[in-house]
Amino acid sequence: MVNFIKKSILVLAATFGFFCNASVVININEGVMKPVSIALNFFDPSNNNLKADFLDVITADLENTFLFRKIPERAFMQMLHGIDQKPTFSLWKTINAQYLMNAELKIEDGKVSASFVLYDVLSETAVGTFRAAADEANWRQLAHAMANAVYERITGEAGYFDTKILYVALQKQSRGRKTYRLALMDQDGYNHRFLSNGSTIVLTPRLSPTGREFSFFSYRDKIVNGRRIPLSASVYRYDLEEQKTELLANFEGMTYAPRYSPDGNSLIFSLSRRGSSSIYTLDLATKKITRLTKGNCIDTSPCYSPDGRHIVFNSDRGGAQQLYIMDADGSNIRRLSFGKKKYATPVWSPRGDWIAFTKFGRDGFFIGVIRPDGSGERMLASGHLVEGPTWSPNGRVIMFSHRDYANNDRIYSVDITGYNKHPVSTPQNAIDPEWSAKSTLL
Amino acid sequence: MRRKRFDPLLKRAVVFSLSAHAAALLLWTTPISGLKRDDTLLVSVGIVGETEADMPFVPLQKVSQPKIEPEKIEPEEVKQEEEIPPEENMEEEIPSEEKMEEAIPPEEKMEEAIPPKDETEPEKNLPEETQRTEEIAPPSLPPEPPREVSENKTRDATEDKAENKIETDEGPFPKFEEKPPEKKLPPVPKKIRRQNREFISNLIKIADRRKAKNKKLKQMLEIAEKEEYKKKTNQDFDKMLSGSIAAFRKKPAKSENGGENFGVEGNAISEDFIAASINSRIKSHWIVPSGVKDAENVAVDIHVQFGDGWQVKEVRILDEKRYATDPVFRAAADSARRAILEMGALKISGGLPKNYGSFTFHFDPRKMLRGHGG
Repeated sequence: MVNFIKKSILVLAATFGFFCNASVVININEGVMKPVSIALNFFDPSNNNLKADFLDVITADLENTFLFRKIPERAFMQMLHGIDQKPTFSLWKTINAQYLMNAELKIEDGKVSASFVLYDVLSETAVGTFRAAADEANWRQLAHAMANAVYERITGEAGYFDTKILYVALQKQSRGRKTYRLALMDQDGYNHRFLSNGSTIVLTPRLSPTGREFSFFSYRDKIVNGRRIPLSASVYRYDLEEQKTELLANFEGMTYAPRYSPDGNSLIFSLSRRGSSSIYTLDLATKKITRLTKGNCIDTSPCYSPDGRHIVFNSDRGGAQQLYIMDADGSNIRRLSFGKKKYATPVWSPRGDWIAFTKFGRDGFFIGVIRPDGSGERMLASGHLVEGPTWSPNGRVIMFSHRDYANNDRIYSVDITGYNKHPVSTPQNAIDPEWSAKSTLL
Repeated sequence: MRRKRFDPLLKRAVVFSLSAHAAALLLWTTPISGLKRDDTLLVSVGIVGETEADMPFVPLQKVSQPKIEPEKIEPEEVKQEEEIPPEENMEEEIPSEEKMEEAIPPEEKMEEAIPPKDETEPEKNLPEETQRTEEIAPPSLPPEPPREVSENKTRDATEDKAENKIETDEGPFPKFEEKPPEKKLPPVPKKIRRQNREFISNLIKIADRRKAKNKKLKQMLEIAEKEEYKKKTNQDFDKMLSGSIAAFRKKPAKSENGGENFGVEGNAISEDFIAASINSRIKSHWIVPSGVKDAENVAVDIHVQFGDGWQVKEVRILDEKRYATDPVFRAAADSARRAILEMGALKISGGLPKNYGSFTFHFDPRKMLRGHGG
């Protein structure tokens, strides 16, 4: 309605303006989807390779988004020595730079300080400034922060370059056995470390909204006649600061896919008993368990909406495995998806505008998105086995597990527009990625 | 009942088609009855021009090592011929297609002269002389009238060629020689054979021309891809605009319904043309803000003032308040502004219209992002 009024006013204004020799409205509704060209001019008076390291990190961050294209330094027609030096815009226009990042690095007392001015070359104005410092050991975080600032200013969205990825590392052992180890790394694959030793099977690690802890599902098993039989299954919590594991619940049946509520005070999961599966919540403070769904159907993979008012899950209550949405108290269940294939592992976007899911059928597996009102369903990626999507904190990028025909498990990333699908660097086979919401992890 | 008259053009086309079919039938039947070698040659000509290996001249290269009959040519001369490089030999023989026709022996003699397959395939381990004796001494070789050496060369070449053809034909079509009715048919008159030869040579020429044309076309396409692609949009539209403005100039300043047309120096220029011109220029520069939340609803209005020569003089984002507070809108507005500044001057002939030099550009990504998820 507001838009309609605005447009009406615009049209009226345009009509009035026409008779008064004023402006005429030109509608432009065709454009392109291509990266913005940016020139990164770095000045490092200390001359100790810091410039090259920062350039590498920032370039990788920006170019991996497919939204930026770095102009090579050899094309520069002007080198700026410090942020106080004003650029000659005509020279930067000549090399088709749309933005210019004029940065300066300094090392003082074991600390790296970085500052830059971001210029819009075409309008010949400074559109952003940045100044920060960090310990020399944390220079990568500082570089990620600089890339975040550029990304935010040019796209209008929060950057995600200083976030981390929690995932399950798979290591193949003899006789077909695999070890499952929890691992943590930066979103670009650096600073990798293992959190568990692989003595138990760990699955579905889910980070809390604070980023200081995560929950996971773990079980011990034994092999009987070549078949893996689970002995006990439990939900645990791991505190990243104190590096402690805490048993949250040990149920009679199998528990699956625990996830935190948006406020971080409770967990939601599904519990399987006597052939059916229902959704429960667990209050982390009181350890009180509440059942949300009932019936002889299989309800699983619950996930809260960012505002905590709704829960999306998949269920076979309609005969086929489809997506459903209910209110946070378990009421008002309505079907979300109506496709012919099966739907699983729905995850609500941090922005709240999309729900990512796994879809599978005879022709393979897909990662798709659908709006919470059931509209706009579309597939972003497909493969032999793709599943378990997780959102970047800004709701722009999705990571997921990807198994190829040679049974190699990797993590892939794809933009919400469906472009820029690429693998994420991991030292071993990897499944079940979970993207941290904040960069406050240890 | 009135008879329907045929269209004279259609009539002519039918007559032409019938005559063409008759000619084709005649050409087709003639070699089958008379010349097996020509028939195979015709087939090979049909695919001339695709690759150089398929050229009908290629089999003739084997002429360079002719099989000289011992009765007619002295062994010394044979050695001389063997010394001739294959390319030179080709140059001598290829142009004389008419001579080739004359040199072709009658069909029966040809068939008799063809040695059996085992004999024609030289054993690698044997010395050259042994091979030659096996090849040049067929037991049933008929006596031939004395001819000049050049004729013999061409004749041997033809024989060689025929041998080659048969060797290849014996693989997939081993029954080639076992067609008794064909042997009984009378030989084709020389005139018809000559016509066939001319027809074939014409086909070769046509194929060569096509090949040359294809090369030229490829070159032209490459040039077009490199040079014209960049300027295509702008040039086309500028031409269209110039033409349309020129057309409008011829019209009176007053429109038919009495209202005033607005435009260049009192003449008319359509708003649509200006809008189309701007759209065509700007669409390759405007980076649509895809992927952001509610991207479909991030429409931006920008005031643009053009100066002389349709140069962009001033760009101003209208919703300044939202620009200052909404980062997504700011990014979208910046993108739109960049597009306007990158667009440069519009190439519209004539000056700036008197009635309007300022516009409001309404950037709406809804159409682009439909289905892309904004």
